[in-house]
Order: sequence, then structure tokens, then C-alpha cells
Amino acid sequence: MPRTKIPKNSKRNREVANREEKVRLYELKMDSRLISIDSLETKFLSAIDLQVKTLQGQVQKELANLKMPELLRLFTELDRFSDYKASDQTQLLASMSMSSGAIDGLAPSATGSRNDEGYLTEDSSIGASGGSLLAAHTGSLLRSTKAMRTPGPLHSARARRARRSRSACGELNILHSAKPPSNSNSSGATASRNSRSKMRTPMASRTKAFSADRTPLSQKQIRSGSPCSPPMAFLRYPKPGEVALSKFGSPMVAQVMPDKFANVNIPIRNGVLSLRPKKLDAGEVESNLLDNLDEDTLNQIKTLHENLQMIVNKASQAGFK
Amino acid sequence: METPAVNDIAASLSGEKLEVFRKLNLLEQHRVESFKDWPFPATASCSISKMAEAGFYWTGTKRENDTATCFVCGKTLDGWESEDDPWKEHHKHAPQCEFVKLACAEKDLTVSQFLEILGTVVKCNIEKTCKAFKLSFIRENEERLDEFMHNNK
Repeated sequence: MPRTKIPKNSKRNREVANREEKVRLYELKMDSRLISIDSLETKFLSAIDLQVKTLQGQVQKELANLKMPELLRLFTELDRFSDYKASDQTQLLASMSMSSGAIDGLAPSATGSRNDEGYLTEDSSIGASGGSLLAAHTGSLLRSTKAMRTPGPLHSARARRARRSRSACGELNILHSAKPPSNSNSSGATASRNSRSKMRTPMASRTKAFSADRTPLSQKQIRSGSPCSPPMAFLRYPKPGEVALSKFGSPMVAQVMPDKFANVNIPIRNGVLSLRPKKLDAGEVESNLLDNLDEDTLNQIKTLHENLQMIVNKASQAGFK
Repeated sequence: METPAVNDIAASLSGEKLEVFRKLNLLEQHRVESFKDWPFPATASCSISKMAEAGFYWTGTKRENDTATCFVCGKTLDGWESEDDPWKEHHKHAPQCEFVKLACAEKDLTVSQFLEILGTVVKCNIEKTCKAFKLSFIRENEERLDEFMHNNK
């Protein structure tokens, strides 16, 4: 019985088909490769745009308006542009007063009692008695910038008063909530302490440990991104010209303006309460920490709380999330 | 002649900090140094320093030594004459160029303007590199395809 003849593919036919298949695959692959090159290109282009935009946002106004010859001169003097930031006090003061003006716009009720143009002087802040709350707030911010600044006219005026910083006098124990420093160079002079110091380990009797930032640059960037200190801490500001040195006890407000997050610093009787935007447990608010709050300060904190609440309310009304 | 201060400063810099910009001819000093040969003297209106100020770097050869290219728009011009004004010629031939639009020599450029220029230059460079790579990629692959077809005939 005859049947339909199915022609067997010759070897040649198979080879042709094979080749065509290969060419087709090749073209597909090449097209997809070209498309991926294009997408990489657009990705890099937009990355450049973003980088330039962020740079423009980050560079200070004064630096951004600098002419190129001056910038080139800066290149010889600076390793990083953040160094320029640190040394420039007028810029900081300008931005401070600008920011305090912006806050005023939001909470006009708090400006009434303001008598020091937002600049809290060192003496008036100790009881936190004078000045408005906002002034105290901006004042504390201002003071926090001082540690970074190079000595300026204000500094030299202070220097004329011939004050010594507290730590230089050995009166470290005024920091009540801090662990009393068990070793201090100046207090080691008394006989009783000398006898105690025999028990020390050699490391503890080291004369001085200047605190210096030895963090690598990469880590620094990570750190500045998010709050690294606890949500509420008791700190004190270094005095002008004082070397910030913390061997034990409560941390000091030495890392100052680079913080990019909102924080609140409340000057209390013997230091500063520094609040960070992290959740605070009720157990963390120690009662002895709050012993040094007087009525005035407490009232000011209440006003500050209301102001913050007002800002939050305004923001949620405006549709922020 | 017009920006000796800038040039002195750039020249006195510790090299490696600004060396990264050399490839892009971003700095006037580097553009000046790119001119290995130029037919016009320093007194001409298209002297090397004026060419560099207007954004041109040298892309000439020994035979055609009067060829220069803008570091921002990439426009290449040759056939210069000694009385040509580099800024005017630049504007005439490449009015779309960001640098020409600013019409601002490096000594008057602010840092933020420089950053914008830097962004444009880097993006142009990426585009140029991608285009060149794609062309060579396609050419190379076509050659291979030809070879394949030829061998399998």
C-alpha cells in the first residue's frame, strides 16, 4: 500500500535552517544588548542630573556664588569642602537668623517676649530665664555651632573676660546626672585622690585623651544620615576654645551642626537636654535628669511642645504625611 | 593675557586634585595646555588664551593645526583667521551651547554655574562615549556575522 512520501530533510537543508536560526538569535541578542546599553546610558545621564542637583542643594549659598578663581584658590587650602563650611562663621550666623525668621513666621505668638534678637547670651541661658523659647532654641543652636567655628570677634570678646571653662577648673562634678569622673588630671593633685589613683590601671592614669574624629570618611557619611545618639540625652556644650574631651560620663554636644535631622536642645541648669527624633521610652526619662528643670524651663518646654504640635498640625493640614 | 591669575593658581595647584578634570578640558588652564601648536600669536584676537577662555581646546594635528573644539557643545571649528573673535565665532556656529549662552569666562563663573557646566559636559561625554561604543559594537558584530556567513556557505 502506497503512502504519502514525507521528504527527509537533507543534511544541507538542516544546516541552512540551523544557520538561519543562529543568525536570528544573533540579531535578537544584539538588539537586546543595544537596548540595555541605551537604558544604561539614560540611567547614568539621570544619575548625573541628580548628582548635580544634590550638589547644588548641598553647597552653601556663599560657596556656590564664589567665583571660580577663588574656588581654585580654595582647592589649595582645603581637603574637603566641609572644611570650608566649618570655618565660615558668617555663613552659619546668616543661616541661623534666617531659620529663626522662618520659625517666627510659623509661630508668631512666641516672639513677643523676645529681647535678644534670637541670640542667647551665655549667661542668660543658664537659668534659661530670659528670652523667648524660640530664642532659647535658636540660641542653643547657635551655641552648638560655636564649637566648630574658628575664633572670631565674638570669641575674642569672650576671651577678654578671662573665663576658664568648667572642665579646666576640675569642677566636673557639677554634671549631676553624668557619672562622676573618676579620673581627672587637675583633681589628681589632692592627697586623697592620689591614694585612690594607686588602684588605677595604667590606661586610666593617662594624662589626656584629646577626642579627635578618626572615623573614616565613608563611615562619616553613613553616620550623618541618621541620628546616632539616643532620643534624649543629657549633654553640655563645650565652652568657646575648649577642647571637647569626653573620657567618661555623659556625651557632650561636640558633634554640632552636621546633624541633618531635626533636634531640640534645651538648656537646663547645668547643661543641655538634647532630644533626637527617635522614639523615647518612658523608662528612659530619668527623674534625676529632670531635677534641674526649673519652672521657667518647664513652661518654655510646654510652649515649645505646643509650637511643635502646631507645626505638625499645619503640616498634616497641608497634606504632608 | 586676560586671566593670568587663574592660570597661575591652577598651575601652582597640587596636580592630582584637578587632574581629573583634564580629560574633559573643564578648566581653562587645561584647555590652554591642550594647544600643542597654534598658528596665531598671543597678540592675535584668537590667541590661545582667548580660545581657551571661549571654551575651545585644541583638536588639531600637525597638518591642520588650527582646529579647536568646544569642551561643552563639542563643536569643532577650523579655518580660523587671526582677527576672528573666539566668543563670536562660537556663538555663530553653536548658539545652543550652554557655555556660549552664559557668555562668561571662567574667571567670572560662579561655582553653581560651573557645576551646571560640569553636569552638561559629563553628560555629553557619556553620550559621546556610548555612541562611539555602540558604533564599534555594531561594526564588530557585523564583521563577525559576515565571517560566519562566509564560512558556512
